[in-house]
Amino acid sequence: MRVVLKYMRKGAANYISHLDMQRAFGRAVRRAGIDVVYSQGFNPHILMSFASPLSVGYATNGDYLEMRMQDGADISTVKSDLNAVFTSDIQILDVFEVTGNKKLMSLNDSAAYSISFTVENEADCVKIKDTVQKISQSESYIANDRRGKPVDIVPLIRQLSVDGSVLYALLKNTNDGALNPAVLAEAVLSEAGVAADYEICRLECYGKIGGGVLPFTALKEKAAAGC
Amino acid sequence: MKWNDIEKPARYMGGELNSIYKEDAKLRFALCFPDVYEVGMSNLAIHILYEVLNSMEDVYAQRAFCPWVDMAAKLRQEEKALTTLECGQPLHGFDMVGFNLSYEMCYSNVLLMLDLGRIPMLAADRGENDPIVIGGGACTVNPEPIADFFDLFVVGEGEEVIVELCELYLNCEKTGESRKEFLRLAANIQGVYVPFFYQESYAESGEIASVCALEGVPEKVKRRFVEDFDGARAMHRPVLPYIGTVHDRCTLEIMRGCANGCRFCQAGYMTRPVRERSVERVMAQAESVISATGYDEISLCSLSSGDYSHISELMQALMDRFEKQRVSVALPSLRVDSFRFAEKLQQVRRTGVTFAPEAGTQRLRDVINKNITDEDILGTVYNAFASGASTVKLYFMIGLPTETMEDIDGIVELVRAIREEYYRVPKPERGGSLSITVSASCFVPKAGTPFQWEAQEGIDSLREKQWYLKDKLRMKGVRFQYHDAYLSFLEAVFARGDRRLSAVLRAAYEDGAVFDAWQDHFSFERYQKAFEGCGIDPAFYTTRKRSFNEILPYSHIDSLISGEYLVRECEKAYSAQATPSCSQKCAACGLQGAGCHMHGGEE
Ligand code: SF4
Repeated sequence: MRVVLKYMRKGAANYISHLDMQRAFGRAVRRAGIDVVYSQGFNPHILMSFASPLSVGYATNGDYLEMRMQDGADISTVKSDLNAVFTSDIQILDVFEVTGNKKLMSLNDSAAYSISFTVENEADCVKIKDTVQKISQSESYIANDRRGKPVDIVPLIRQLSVDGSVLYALLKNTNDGALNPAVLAEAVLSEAGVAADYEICRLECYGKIGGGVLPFTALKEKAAAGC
Repeated sequence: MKWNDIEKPARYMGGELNSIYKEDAKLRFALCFPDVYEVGMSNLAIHILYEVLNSMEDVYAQRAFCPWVDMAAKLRQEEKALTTLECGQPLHGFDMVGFNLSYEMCYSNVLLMLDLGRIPMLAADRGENDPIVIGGGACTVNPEPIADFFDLFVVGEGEEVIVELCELYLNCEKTGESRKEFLRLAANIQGVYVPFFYQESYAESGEIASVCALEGVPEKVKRRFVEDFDGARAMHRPVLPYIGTVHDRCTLEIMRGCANGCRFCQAGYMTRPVRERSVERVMAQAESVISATGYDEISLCSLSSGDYSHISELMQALMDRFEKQRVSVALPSLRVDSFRFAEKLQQVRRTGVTFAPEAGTQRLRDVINKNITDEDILGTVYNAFASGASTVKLYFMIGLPTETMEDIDGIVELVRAIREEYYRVPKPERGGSLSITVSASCFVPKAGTPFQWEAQEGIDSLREKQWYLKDKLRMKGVRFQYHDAYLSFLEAVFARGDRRLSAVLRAAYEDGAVFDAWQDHFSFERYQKAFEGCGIDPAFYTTRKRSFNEILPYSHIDSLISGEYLVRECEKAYSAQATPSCSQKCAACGLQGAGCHMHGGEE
């Protein structure tokens, strides 16, 4: 059976790569003695895949991965069993069974982020707010991606809003286009002429589910409704 | 702190599973490893000592590793001190700061850590409120080149001594003893060496004239080993790194010491006597480590796991126990005779075969007492090839005592013969494409071995031999790797050097030396300048042959292996006479009746 886990990470766990994250989950599953399905062959590994890799340095409050468990396994204790063997920097928020065979990865639509700037003063907040507004209203805005190549970020932005020194962004996150929130953050800072550090947290991942765009937790209701 | 421009920030974050957090403790101990996190976290000693120390109520041990160059620069720029992972406390605030000294080329990193940790670099400059700086690990057979930087060394195995040292420290604190009195008392614990109390003088020749023990400390510092290794504390809940490390698996120590007596091998002698851990204890440890970490691989650790008396039984038991959890059990580095067992496990195919013949001819292998024959190797590779394996790794040394070009040619011959074995297997039966990796390191004479009096071969002729091999090994499917001869030269300087080298090390460090074991960071010129600046000829330590009666810089450190035995072994080497393994016959190395139980403690 296919089981989806929603999880968060913070603190020291923010600084580990996608590969390390996979390994951390694999080990936690073994510590907790979860009844998972392993691949065949010389190097058996847990059949597990993440909805969307998270960059090094980012926290999350809403990331997802799926794994295969033995049919009929009891999933009611998976959350507490895993949380008992993880540090407080990685915790499971929800566990649910899903039906169908479509990988989470193929359902990705967008992801919501908070970008918290450490600003010096109120004036910087205003500058950031004005800049965000300007970018939102533009038809196109060329920024440098993480490799330094120019990219038009406007088509990749779904929604932006600012609250104090925090920028909330809903960004496209599909196979054929995704915007890394750091690219947006750097663009905003350089356009606003503000020098500031920032912290990024992914708040939720959204998928194309049942004709709409919904948080992946919607798959839970879908499975429960039997469709 | 901003982490964007720092490579692998997780190295500095701590917070890993099984890290230990205590409110505070009377004695705070910083366990330091002078290399990056991924290397240090792969070191078994750090994990063992972490558990041993933290099991003491009044002690809190925290870990610190050497910051990579980017982080070191950042700490300097932001004027921040190097801290421990657990509580982020600067090293200078600890009561004790212990360094694991596993290889000579980490010495410059020790200085970096002291410097960034804001601890006075020289022991002589430390006052009542500074930490006691301790060194332990393999290099303490000859700690003289770094003696100036340390308050004390633990010679030999540390897990018991460290407890005694902490107890002594706590007592001294209660009674208000001075730092010096603590050190004097510590020097009376077996295995503790306080350089301050040993004064050496030099003869005109540059050799040591005498070493004099002061203030009633023992004339000789005796190496410590754990008598009841089976019952000794093993690692049970190791800290689980978030990021991949060099040895990222459950490592179980099954045996200490080695019965083979390879004459070049310092570890082999310095960990004697041979002691085994029982299958039950190893199993119990495996159980606890796997459930505390979730590792999916177990590997056995010892100098020669094939010699462990219950190896098959243990491997089988581990595989049976952990099969359901899909935990694989990696084969120990194999000796030829344990190969049959490997075959049975069908793992050979996956991993290929690895040999360390060390020398190219039987004659030279007899000189170094490496008990492995061409027939062993060829027979084994043939079987491996026939069962589908196609990768072979071979480890050699060049510059060994009595070596001639014939021995170098022997390496080439052996590689050629291995290739022939491969082609002897009918095509449909043998595996994919043949790949032989030949690795040649440069021999470094080490303290406490029968070769401790030998001259190291000069850099130029070592390099000539490397080029010669490189040329001759241009064969399809063969890859040749060799070590930097300059690095081996420097290693040889420190391996048998004396206290005058502390100044050289300091000068090189001040000139930027750090991470010398990392090819990209090592600069021989930097050390050359330091030698010149200090008026020291490094060749005195490397290419000079010592006489048997020279007072060696570490002669006041008793490794428990008798000098007569080492001389005997050295003379046997010259006449290419092998010495059988201790399991067959005792060679009276000095431990008979003094800790070795191999032949009932008798010769
Ligand atoms: S006492 Fe004899 S058997 Fe024991 S380690 Fe020494 S040589 Fe080997």
